[in-house]
Amino acid sequence: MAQIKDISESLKRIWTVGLRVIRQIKRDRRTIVAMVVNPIILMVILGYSLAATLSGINLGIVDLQGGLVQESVLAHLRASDAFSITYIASESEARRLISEGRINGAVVLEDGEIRLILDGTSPQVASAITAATAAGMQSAASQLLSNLRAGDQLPAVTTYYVYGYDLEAKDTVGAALLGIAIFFFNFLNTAIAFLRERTQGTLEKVLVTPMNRLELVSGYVLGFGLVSLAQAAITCVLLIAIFKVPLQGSLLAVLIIVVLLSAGSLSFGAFLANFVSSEYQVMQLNPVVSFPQILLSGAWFPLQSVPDWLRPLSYIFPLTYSTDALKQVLLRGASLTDILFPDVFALLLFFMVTFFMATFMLKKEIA
Amino acid sequence: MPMGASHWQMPEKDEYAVIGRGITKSFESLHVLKGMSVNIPRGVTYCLLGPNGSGKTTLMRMIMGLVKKDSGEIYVLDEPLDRISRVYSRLGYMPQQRPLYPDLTVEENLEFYAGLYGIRGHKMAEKIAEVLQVVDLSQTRDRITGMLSGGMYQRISLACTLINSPDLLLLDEPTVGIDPVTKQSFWGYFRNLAAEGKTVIITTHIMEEAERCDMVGFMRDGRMLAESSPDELKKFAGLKKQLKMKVEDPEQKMALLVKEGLEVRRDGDMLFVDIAEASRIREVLDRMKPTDFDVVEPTLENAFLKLSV
Ligand SMILES: Nc1ncnc2c1ncn2[C@@H]1O[C@H](COP(=O)(O)OP(=O)(O)OP(=O)(O)O)[C@@H](O)[C@H]1O
Ligand SMILES: [Mg+2]
Repeated sequence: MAQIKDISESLKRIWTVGLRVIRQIKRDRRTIVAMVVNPIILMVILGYSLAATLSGINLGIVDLQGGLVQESVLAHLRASDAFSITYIASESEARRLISEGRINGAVVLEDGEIRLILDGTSPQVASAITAATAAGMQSAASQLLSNLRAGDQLPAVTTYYVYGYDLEAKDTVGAALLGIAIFFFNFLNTAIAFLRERTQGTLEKVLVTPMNRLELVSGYVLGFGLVSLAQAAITCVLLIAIFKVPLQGSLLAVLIIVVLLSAGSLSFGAFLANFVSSEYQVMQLNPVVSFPQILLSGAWFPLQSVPDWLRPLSYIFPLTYSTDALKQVLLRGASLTDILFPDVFALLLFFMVTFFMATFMLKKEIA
Repeated sequence: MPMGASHWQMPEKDEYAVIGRGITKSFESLHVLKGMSVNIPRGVTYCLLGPNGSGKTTLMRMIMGLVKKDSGEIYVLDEPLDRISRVYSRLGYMPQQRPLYPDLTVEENLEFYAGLYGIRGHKMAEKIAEVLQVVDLSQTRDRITGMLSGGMYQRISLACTLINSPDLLLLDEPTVGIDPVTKQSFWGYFRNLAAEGKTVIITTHIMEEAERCDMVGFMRDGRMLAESSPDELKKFAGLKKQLKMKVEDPEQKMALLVKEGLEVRRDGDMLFVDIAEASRIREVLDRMKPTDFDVVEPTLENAFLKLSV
């Protein structure tokens, strides 16, 4: 009985901190505007200016015996560094592998026709495959001219998107951007909030109350988590209403990803706040935290474009998992169970590790 | 042996709000506390005095478990320091920096601290009204805290410290920047708290304030030099009443007094004579026949100056 009372008192204290955090954000008009507007500006500016050199694209080849042109295309694809080629027996098998994410696209070489089966959610990968195929046909065409036989004709090229539509870059980036906006909103604001708690003396005072460190960090998770939920909801509505991004998946799954990501990123911010002594230093730290993640998490550039030796970094960044999870849910209609592993699991792990570190480091406050 | 050790007997734990023995603390090579002892009885106003950097804030924070001690023993409200969190609900701390959230309203700040102590609902409303009354700022309730004047900010900070009706208050320079009228009422309030059995520990550099405390603890060189009432501290510092006289022929009269073993200082035709026993004052006056005179009581400031060097 006493324990239940303790727990309920503890929850109330957590709520006290959460409420305070929400009140502070509520009063900060500029932050509220930035929360809503930033993802959209980023989407417009960056969504249209994507370019990358890709490598390690898993390309399936379904070789159903074509003519000279088909051979030339195949030779071209094989010669390119960008692709690692797998031979696949049938087109339906290729489609299945793409939908499972095992290969990024497939080229079906058939008499009289070349079919490109592409993944609509990765425009850069899709256009790389299209471009390489076109180049192969180009070089075959010049040979054909000098060597023309009766009945020879260029095969028709048809393109199929496995997800049924050709997504524009901004659509896929849009999904990733939600994650990026959530991450940086939470990371920056908590880092600065904890720094202020320290410099304005409130942390000291708060630590001399019945509230413990765990409750303090939990309160932040609660407050910022709720605000992030609102941010996510607004961004989603804008994505659908203004940018006409096709929304496929369950909203619940999106919200769970958002809550996990915001909890992890704000704990990370609270942890880092222990190593800085001014807001200026937080700003200096920001690019170091943000650029690698944006570039390497698959948010802007597909993971395939990340050089091999940097790939391990991609796999420790939370944004890698949130980006994948949000793309899967928003664009492919994946359910929560589809993204449970590795995405949800990785986000949960990131949160638990940073939460522990943030709580532990608060202790060091006491010299 | 610090003065007062004989006076206060061997301390009984439960008569004291804070007891400390042999406390040491270093920040790297800087030895701030070197065998500090402290005895703060319950139900008193107790002033920690000492030059800047003598470790008053450090000692205060240590009493609350915010600074780890290197060695020594401390009991706070009967709990040893490693179980200090048990008495957190009974402490009220006002740090030297004023711990408020400037972007919240005064009421929101008070609600936040009340919530941390589990004070809610109409009990919270009552308590907030009460502490705002104490600092006489009920009208600022809905104002953004960061927009308040420096002294008001300070007063709201004190209000937040009082929100849980603490048994032990630790106030680090609470009256800096406070106007004289409000200061007066603060001190009245602190005395009332002590009369109700609460313990108020204060640091200040204003000697008139220290003089109003039941006890002062004088810290120097990492030790507690003396712990006693302000009057006893003056005696401890060897301070005497001073007879200030305007005389004719000061040179000769000074020589006369010095010969009798009195401590005399001359400034123009003024003589300043330290006199231990009040009874001698009349005798000296009769003989010196000053044109004008005054008896100056020693101040705590004199004691501070004397003890600080
Ligand atoms: N966390 C810390 N790290 C390093 N040195 C510290 C720390 N805290 C205090 N000190 C040093 O300990 C000494 C005592 O500081 P403290 O703040 O306790 O003095 P104080 O008596 O309160 O002074 P003041 O009258 O100026 O408020 C100072 O030299 C200070 O620089
Ligand atoms: Mg101090």
